[in-house]
Order: sequence, then structure tokens, then C-alpha cells
Amino acid sequence: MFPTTHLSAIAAGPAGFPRIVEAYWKPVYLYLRLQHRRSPEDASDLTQELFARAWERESFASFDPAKGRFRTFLRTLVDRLALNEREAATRLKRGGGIEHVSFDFASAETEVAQPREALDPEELFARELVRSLMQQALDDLRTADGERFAIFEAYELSDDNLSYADLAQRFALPVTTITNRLAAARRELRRFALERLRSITTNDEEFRAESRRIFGS
Amino acid sequence: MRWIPDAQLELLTRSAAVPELIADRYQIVDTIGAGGMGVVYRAEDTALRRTVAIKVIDADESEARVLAKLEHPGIVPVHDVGLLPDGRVFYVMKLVDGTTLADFRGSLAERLRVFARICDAVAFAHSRGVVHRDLTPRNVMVGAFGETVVLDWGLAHGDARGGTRGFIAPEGQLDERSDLYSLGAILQFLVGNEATPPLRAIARKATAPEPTARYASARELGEDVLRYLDAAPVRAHRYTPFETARRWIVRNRVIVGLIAAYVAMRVAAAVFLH
Repeated sequence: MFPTTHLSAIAAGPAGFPRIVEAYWKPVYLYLRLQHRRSPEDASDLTQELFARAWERESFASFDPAKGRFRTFLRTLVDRLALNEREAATRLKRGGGIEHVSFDFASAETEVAQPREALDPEELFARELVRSLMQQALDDLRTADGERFAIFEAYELSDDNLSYADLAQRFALPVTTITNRLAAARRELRRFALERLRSITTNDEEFRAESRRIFGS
Repeated sequence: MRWIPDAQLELLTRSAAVPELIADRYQIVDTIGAGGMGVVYRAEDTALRRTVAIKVIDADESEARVLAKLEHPGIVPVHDVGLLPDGRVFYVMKLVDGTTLADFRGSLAERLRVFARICDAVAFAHSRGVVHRDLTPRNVMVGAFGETVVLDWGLAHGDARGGTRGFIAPEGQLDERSDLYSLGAILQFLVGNEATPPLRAIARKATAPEPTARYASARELGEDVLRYLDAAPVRAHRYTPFETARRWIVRNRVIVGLIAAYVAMRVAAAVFLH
């Protein structure tokens, strides 16, 4: 029913690990900053610590989809790590699966001060994950087709309230081309977001539940 | 990486969820509603030049086809069913005008008649093997002439949907008897603080925690409510002699009125002549 080209990174074991880190490091960092009120240094240390440990102990492999969602499982790991000061003091040296993932903590830090709706911890973490997924999907969209992305950006992401006619003028394209590109961009954005989502869910059921949560269907 | 504010995040996901609909025929106008079960759009059917509602849902197409076969005045008509390129199912329905039952204002008798129509529609669906699974006041539309249409028929299975708090039966498995529970909860909602003992008894029986203690069918439940409207004894309630007398008077109010008028006249005449 859904494209199965991008299989679950969780089920993929060590090979899928970087994909999980890529999707989750920022929600984890923001969650530590916003929910656990950790300092930027602490939050970035703990974020790397979390994934380094998970890599070493292969914790993600022990995740049982029958018992819940991966997102919730990961959040529990974060909570446990953040609350356990004694353990946090004996930091493992990082390495393993996270060597190739770039953690841009400085850029994540700029997001900490942004206004947000007050949410409970579960919702907060979920929201940041969705935000992070959409950010990545937008990047995918930009990489795939620069001009199409520019049209989409001008229409959906700016506060200018441009009409199709305005866009047609700005991009020197017929209105029908504009609407076609916009429709294609939406479709592609959805596809990119779903692909990323699929890779960080364990099975079909979880994937569907999560996509329903994000897209309402 | 660009920051996406909360409001924009919502717009973006909603925009990305807009289906690529069979582009020639249906054009999405706007979103009517979104919930755990899918999104409903207002759309133009360009072939027939009418406005329709299109629901996009992650479900089994065959179930949507079953739904399309349910033809009943109390069940929203499905005009078209299909599969989107991404695997989601869409179905095109009549766009029902009116207010949802949650916002419906009418006399108690009107509300009870609407309720009986809902029971009728649900009984019909059950007779065709279709269970609703999420009967709530929000899923019932009442038109200007009291016509009552039940929307959102159970297109997904139990886990995915989970029902609506306050209207969902306590048992995990959702079947016909759990629809009855939801109907009982709707009755309670409709009657509010105007409940009389017989109405309370009907709602209590319909929402019994033990499924087998409920009414055997939606039809029986609807019939009991109609009996109440006719001031006939309802099955769910054991009457006191006083209630029986009062009900008899209400039911025979024309005769009672005539007798009372006659007696009053005789008394007046007697007094006058005296």
C-alpha cells in the first residue's frame, strides 16, 4: 500500500543506525533543553551520550514494536538518562554509529528560544520530531528541484500571501505551470516526509499510526 | 535548516496531505474537518458541477465499497470510491447541509425523533454487516427539515480509530453492541437534564457495561424511544402506579380532556342551577 523502498532503519540494525540519529538528534536535544531544562553543554553531551550508548549496547535492537512506539521508547531512554545524574557523570566516550552524523548543536540552539505552544512531554517530543522531519523533507525538496522549491517557498512558506498570478509574474511562468509545480511540490514533500518517517518506524502499523498523526490520514 | 513555527508546521503538513485527486474531475476547495480518522475536504465535482465532500483515509478500499452499497435515507450517500497514488482511499460523498447533532437545538420530542431515525439508520447498516464504531453527536447531521444523516461509517478497525471518549463502549472489541452503547450515550447527551425515569432507563439499558445486557438491536432501542414518544410503556423501565396513571392520562389526553370538560360543565351547571 505504501512505498516500501525505504525500509525501517530500526529493523535494519547497525546499518540503519545513522538514519535514526539523523532524524532524532535534534528532537532529543530540544527535548533536553526545553523539558529537562538542561544547559546547552549538558544537552549536547547527553544527546551524543544517548546515541553512543544505544550504539554500544545495541539498545535499539532490543526495541519491541509490540510494546509501543519507537518514538516513546526513545523518549523514555532520554528521560532515564537525563534523570540519572550518577550515570550521566560517567560519560562514555563517543564513537561507533554516530561518527558520521553531524550534530549542529549551535543551529539547534537557535531554535530553543522560538515561541512554542505549551505541551506535555510526549507531545513536545512528538512535535519536535515532526518539525525535524519536515525540515529534512523541505531540504530534500530543495535538493530535488531548486526552482520548484522556490515557487513552493514563495507560496507556502512566506508571509506575503501571494496569489498564483503574482507567482506567475515573479517566475515568468504561466499560471497553470505554477499550480502544477505547487501540486507536484506538495506531493513530493509528502513523499519525502513519509520516506523519512518510514525509516524511523519499526513496522507498517507504527508507520501508519505515525503518518496518520502527522497528516491526519 | 530553516525554523518552522508551529502554525506553519500545521499548514505545511496539511498542505502536503492534500490529495492529488484524479485531477480532472474533483477539485479540492478547502478542508472541512480533520481528525484521527482522516481528512474531509470540500470539493467541486467538475463533471456534475456540484459540491461534494471527499474523505481521504488510510483504509481498505473494499470496506469503502461496502459502504457505498448502503442505501438508506439516514446514511450519507457515497458517489465514488477510489485509490490515490500513495495508497490512501478516497471516497466522494454527498455534502450534507445542516448542523451536527452536537449543535442541534429542538424540543425534547424533536430530539427524540431525530434519535429514533439514527437508530433506524444504524439498524439498517447492522443488517448489512456494517458497524459504525464511532457514533457521536458530531457524526450525525440534522438538516433543516429534521432529516438525519449519519456520517463517518467505520472505515477503519478498532485500534486505529479508538472511538470518541464519552461515547465509546468500555469493551475493547467494537461490534454492533458497542454501537448500541454509543447510541445510549448519544441519547443521554440529547436528553440532558430533561431526562424522565423511563428515558433514563432506556439510556441506562443501552449503555449497560455488559454488552449482552443492552438492547438486542438498534431497532429495539429506537422502538423503545418511539414508544416513549407515544406515551406507551417502554421496555427498559418498571413503572410505579403513579407513573402508569400519568402515562395513561397523557396518552388518552383527548378523552381525559373531554371527560374533564364534561365534569367541569356539569359541576358549573349544578352550581349555577343550585
